[in-house]
Amino acid sequence: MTVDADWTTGEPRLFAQRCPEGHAWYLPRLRCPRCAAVVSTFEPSGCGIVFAQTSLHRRVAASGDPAGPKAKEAIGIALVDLDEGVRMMVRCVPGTPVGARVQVSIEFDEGSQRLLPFCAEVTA
Amino acid sequence: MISGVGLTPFSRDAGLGALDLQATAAYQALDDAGLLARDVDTVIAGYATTVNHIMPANVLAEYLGARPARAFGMSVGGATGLAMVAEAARLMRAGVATHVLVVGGENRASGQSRDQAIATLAQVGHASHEVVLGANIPAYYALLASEYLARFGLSRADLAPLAVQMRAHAVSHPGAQFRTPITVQDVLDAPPIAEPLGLLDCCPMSDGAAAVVVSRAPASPSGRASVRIAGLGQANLHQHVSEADFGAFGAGESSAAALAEAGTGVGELDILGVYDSFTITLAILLEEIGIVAPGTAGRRASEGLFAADGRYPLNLHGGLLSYGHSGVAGGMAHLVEMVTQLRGEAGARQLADLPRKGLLHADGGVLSAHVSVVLEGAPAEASRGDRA
Repeated sequence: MTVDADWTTGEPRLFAQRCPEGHAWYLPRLRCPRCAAVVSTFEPSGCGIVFAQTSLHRRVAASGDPAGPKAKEAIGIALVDLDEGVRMMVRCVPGTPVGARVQVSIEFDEGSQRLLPFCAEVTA
Repeated sequence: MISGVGLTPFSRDAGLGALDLQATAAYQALDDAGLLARDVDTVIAGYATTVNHIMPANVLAEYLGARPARAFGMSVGGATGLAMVAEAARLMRAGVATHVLVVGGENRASGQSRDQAIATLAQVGHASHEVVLGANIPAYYALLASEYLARFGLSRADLAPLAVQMRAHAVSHPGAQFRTPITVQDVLDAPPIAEPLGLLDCCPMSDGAAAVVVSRAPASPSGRASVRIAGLGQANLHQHVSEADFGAFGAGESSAAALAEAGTGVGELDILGVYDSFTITLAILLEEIGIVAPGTAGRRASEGLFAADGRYPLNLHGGLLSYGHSGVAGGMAHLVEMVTQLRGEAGARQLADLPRKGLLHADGGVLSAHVSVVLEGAPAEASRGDRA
């Protein structure tokens, strides 16, 4: 495990980045995309607001055999604006409304057999 | 100037491989220009997802018997076709090239499985932070649509007229993949793909090809209208939807540059060719370019603004939504149709008043790469007396 291991590499952690100038972003880089300053990685709280959401209808292997019969399922995908000022793409319950207050957490997804970020609505 | 154009019919299965499709369109464009392949000094070819060759222009040049000084491929998603034409025009301006052949085409629908194609195209997303979530192209655009509808307090029905208009245009083009008229209700009743987008909000995947010859001057006096590239603009402000500025994706910047270079404005345009991979794509692009006010593209479509007899005839071949989408060629079909209209050669589809000035706009990725081109038609000397 490296210091930067997060959900994308199998560690149940969510990372974002920022620079000393106060710029913050989500997609990982070696330098700040605005000022080229050296970055530091931080763990956002996961609290945020749904900016956009889709229920994606797709065909998946019904039995685990990629060449076998297909079944249909819907998954929710959302862009969430985290309180720390970064926007990230997550899984969500299909139909989660735009503007909903949510909490992002890292969970194991049976379908893809890996850790993914999921968001759940929180009551105010 | 644009001296030749070629466009194959788009379909689910053209019965040809990618290279044969590219060559079919290239021969059409060369014949149209009155040139042989060996007359071309530059060949530019777009990527083909079914071939994935690292030297697409060289392969095509050899096939055609061209021996160009310059041959190179390009890859900026759906914007590739217009981006290649923009580079061809710049080679002309620099005095470097005389005749440039620009080609895109592939058997996108028949040359791979539907799941393979969806997986390939999904790679415009971020590999480790977006694609792994199961997202794909319709999902990325559905996120745009979700935010758009929420921002303006609209519903799916407010985007549907754009799909209906594209289909209405395609009905009169024999090369279009879909030619059965549809209604707003049909669009609303279609199976959901990535909500709020349903099947008829999404372009199909097609086999097909398109080609353009850009020349410094005609190969020979043709006695026909000529079409000039009057303005170019481009913008590349992000790649991934996660980092897009939803207030300014880049189409405004790109089109403003092209219009400024042409010394014109949207009010002087007679015809439009705007990328329409999804209904939401068309709505956002038309609004950012400034053709219509934000949040109104669908309503203006339902009022007939983009019909053949409307103020802004748009994608008269049926666009990606109904003529079809064969990757790079899909974005070039708009250009071929506009050139045909500016020349007055569109037959049954020809606009009643010969258009003189048009704006083309294409995007690649998730509204990531933008290219705008202003075309101007000039009537041939022989026919000038016929015009007021």
